[in-house]
Amino acid sequence: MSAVDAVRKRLPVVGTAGIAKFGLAVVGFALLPFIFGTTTANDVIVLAIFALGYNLLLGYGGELSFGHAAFYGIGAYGTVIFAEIAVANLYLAMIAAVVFTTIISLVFGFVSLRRRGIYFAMITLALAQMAYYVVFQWNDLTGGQNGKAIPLFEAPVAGIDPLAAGLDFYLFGLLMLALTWLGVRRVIQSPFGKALMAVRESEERARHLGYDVNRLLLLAFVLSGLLSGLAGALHAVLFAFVGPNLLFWTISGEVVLIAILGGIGTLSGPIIGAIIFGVLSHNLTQVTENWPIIFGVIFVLIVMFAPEGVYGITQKYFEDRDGNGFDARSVLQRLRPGGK
Amino acid sequence: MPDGNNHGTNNGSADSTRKGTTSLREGVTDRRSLLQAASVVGGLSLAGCINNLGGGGGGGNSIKIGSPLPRSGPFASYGRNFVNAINLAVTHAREEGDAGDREIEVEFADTEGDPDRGRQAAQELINNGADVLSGNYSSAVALSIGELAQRRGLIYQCVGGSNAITGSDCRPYVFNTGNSAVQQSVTMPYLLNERGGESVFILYSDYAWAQSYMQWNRDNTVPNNGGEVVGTQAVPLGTNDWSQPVTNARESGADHIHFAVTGTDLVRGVNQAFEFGLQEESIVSAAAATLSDVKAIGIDIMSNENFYPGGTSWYWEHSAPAAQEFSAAYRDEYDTVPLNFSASHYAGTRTLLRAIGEVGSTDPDDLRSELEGKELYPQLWGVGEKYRECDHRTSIATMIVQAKQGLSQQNIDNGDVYTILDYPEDPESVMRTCEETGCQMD
Amino acid sequence: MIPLSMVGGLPLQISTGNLLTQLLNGIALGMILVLIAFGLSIIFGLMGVVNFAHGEFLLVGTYMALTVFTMTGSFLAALVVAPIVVAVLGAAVERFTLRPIYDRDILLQLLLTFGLAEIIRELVMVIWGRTGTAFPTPSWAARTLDFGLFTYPMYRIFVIIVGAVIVAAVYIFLTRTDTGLIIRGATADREMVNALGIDVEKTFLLVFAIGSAIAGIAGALIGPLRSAYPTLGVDLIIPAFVVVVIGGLGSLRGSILAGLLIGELMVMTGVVYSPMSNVIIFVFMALVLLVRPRGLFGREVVE
Repeated sequence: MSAVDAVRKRLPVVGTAGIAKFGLAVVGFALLPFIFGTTTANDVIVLAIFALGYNLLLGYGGELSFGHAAFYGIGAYGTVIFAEIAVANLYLAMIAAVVFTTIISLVFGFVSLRRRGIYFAMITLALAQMAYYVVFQWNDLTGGQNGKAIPLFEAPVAGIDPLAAGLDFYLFGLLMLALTWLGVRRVIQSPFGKALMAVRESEERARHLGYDVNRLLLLAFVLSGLLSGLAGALHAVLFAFVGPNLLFWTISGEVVLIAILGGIGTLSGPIIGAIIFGVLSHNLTQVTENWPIIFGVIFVLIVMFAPEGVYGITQKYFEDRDGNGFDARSVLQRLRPGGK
Repeated sequence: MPDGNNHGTNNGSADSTRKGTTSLREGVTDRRSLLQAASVVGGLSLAGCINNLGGGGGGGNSIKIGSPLPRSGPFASYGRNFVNAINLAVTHAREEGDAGDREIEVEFADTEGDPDRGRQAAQELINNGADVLSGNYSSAVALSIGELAQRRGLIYQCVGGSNAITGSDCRPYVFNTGNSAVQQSVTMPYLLNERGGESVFILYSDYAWAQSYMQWNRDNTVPNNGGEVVGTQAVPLGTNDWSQPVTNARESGADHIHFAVTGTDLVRGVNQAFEFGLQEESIVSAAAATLSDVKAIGIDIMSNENFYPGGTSWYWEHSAPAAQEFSAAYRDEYDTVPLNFSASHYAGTRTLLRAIGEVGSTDPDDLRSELEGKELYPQLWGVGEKYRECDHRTSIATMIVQAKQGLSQQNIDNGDVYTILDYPEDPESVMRTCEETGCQMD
Repeated sequence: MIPLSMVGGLPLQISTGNLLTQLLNGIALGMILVLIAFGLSIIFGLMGVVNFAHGEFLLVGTYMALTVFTMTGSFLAALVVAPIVVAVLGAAVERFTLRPIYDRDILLQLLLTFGLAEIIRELVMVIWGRTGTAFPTPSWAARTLDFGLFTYPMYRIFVIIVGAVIVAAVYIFLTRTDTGLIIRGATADREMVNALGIDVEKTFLLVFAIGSAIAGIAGALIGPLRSAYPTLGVDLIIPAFVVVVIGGLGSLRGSILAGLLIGELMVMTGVVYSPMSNVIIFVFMALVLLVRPRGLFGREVVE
């Protein structure tokens, strides 16, 4: 039996498309740090996890949140603070931080989901700003505007030390990314995932069919918060430092851009978006002091002319769809104007 | 000195790390990850080759200075001034052989004035082979880069008014060539003595620097000069509407209303204080106003005789001979006046290079011993200023200033704004004692 | 003296004079928020678009006003020019970027205006500089008025009055003029109005321009209060969002009442317990949402 057949037997995804994508992913990630440098590659990993989580809510749930920076930041700060005041073990601190962030996202999600559409977006933004101010002002705990360094200097596991950044972190991050991707995939393909997509189509219809729409969206919200928290925790490990700007709404804007850039409502789109964004942002600042204009322009152009994102475009080109027959384009068409 | 908040995206690039190769053990059961891991391990050995090729500088005949400065963001204009200062320092150091006959190289990176980005910028400089680090603008950046420098084993020359940099968060490899919040507390004593009055109301930002500054003034400097702090109000950082705290201050009827606030918060606070006419009944002063604050505060308020922008750590019209020389050289070369922290960075960088020359290497522990107690070179304050051994802060004086007569917009644009009113003769007398700093380095 | 409470260890007795001053402070701040929320509400109520760049329109208004004021020495000229410039900017944005994507999802419109906000803000910094600039109070308003129990800056009174006048004017325009009627009709039923031969596209352009102009004049008014600095728009748009969430997007009455309420809340929290003053509006918003998801005055039509 050839290797390809063996692989095909074990992977749920069948067909040459699946194999091709898998191969591409392996090669791509193997080469990433060497083409663009480990700093960029590590950044991409963290952003990819952030965007994957965020896409659960946006692409599959159909709700736009402008406040996910809060979960990213709380995951990051949580890791540093727990490492300082509770456990001097990086991994326990990370777990504690992610748990804490998930609880916060439950609370924020509950309040935000009292409304939908635009109101939902504005509420998430407002709540995230609140979290920002709390972190900014609570000097004793968070270091306020000075930020805080992680009080650990090494955290070896299985022969590598993610705290040493570089390729060590890359391996660790890659593992986390793989797990995240698999997890999100599992969620999407589960009955919950399907129900969620039904809500995305039409909340009213879903409700008539007997779905508890609020619960479904809340669960999507919390899962995305959890993953955002994980991304934040990884950020804290990678940079060994956290600053209050991690909770500022510009971070929320970045993850939205990444999700759109890649292709919303697709499983791998966010990863593509993260790669593009990471590479661009690391290199753009060399070019000009005014790089935010370029970002803004890219944002606007994508929204106007290519909202299905890069992955969405390739889907269109290869006429590729996911298990439910969706690609980014059709997801966009289904997010109807005026909210639900 | 502390500053406002900032935000932005990732920045810079790196092409090698200093890590050696690692091995990946089993324990990864997921097939895809295993395949990915296998390919990465293959690549790691390649990385090992790259590491050995690039490598850092250090030792031998060349020195690389990594300089993290705000090149974009709100402090970009300061950053430009500092870049000039450090370049000038390196030029003069070469001419005078500060570091012996070693080659000196500088690489700059953009901190955006933010502690998170700043730290990343410093990390890239270290990845690119910096032997020592020199430069910053804000205290927050100094603290975050200082921690990194300590972690990675490099000497770091910085400025920053936060007491923590040379107090609770002091570090063996970090040396501060600016003045601390305590050293900045010269305005109130001067005002109480020269303008009279007894009652003082302090508005302060609700965070460490301002809190400690307020307490120091309330418990020490004000009572020691015949005054009394009759009220204080903590104002959260980032407050836009100062009408309420300012009204409160007015209510108190104090002779002096003092702002322990910096940056845009200060600008708003002072603007709104004048809106409510506080200067009619009281003397309004700040702990310290940077030149960008001055610009935003504006000529009308700056020229008001009842307004004192506070102290500054150095001013280009300083009378010390070395200061005159430096200012002249700077203005010749760059057609603009050097800012206070440019003087700090200039002297700090040259002193650091001299230390490297004495010690013969960039080893941080050797350099640390050499720098402790070392007099700054050149002596831009002319008072025998040096790095204090116990906390690595320079014993420099803070000047009390006021806007010069006939201040014009052009003056403000050029940084040519002040008349120096006074400064303490004995700088160490206005510093905290070693015990008071709370600094513990070993 | 009026005893208030012993909250947070702060002994609170506040003189009547101080209390009245603070109440007025709240109204002044509230009036600015009302203006911003008004602009947002009008645009949303009529076009279904939430303009994330609204704060940056305000910012442009502030800087334009500053430039005109510095060049001509006339604040009134600044008050006239700033909203016109911003109206033109708004019209351009509507015509070239928003109109092509009207049929698309609201998500994309939000994102578009978000991206535009970044661009506009950065352009402002490129043109006018990255650090703040002083915005002097016009000399005829730079004094305090004596109201017996307390004195109060004249400029703030000016802001309150002008703000109220503008709000009233827009309200009357929308509810009592023919054009206003058309505009409100277009909200309710775009196609019907189109069928009646009225150019909906032009109407929307006009509405967007008006909404932007209001933001521009708010920016001009707030300049002397806060000075001009690049994140002024960002600082104000968030509280404005809170106001519209509570008051209801598209509800003019809601914007007015919620705006004043939020303004007072922010100021009085500063009096009673200042560490909360930045955060209180979000807590309040969350409470309102939990109790009354529609918002305090929630109805989504123009009233």
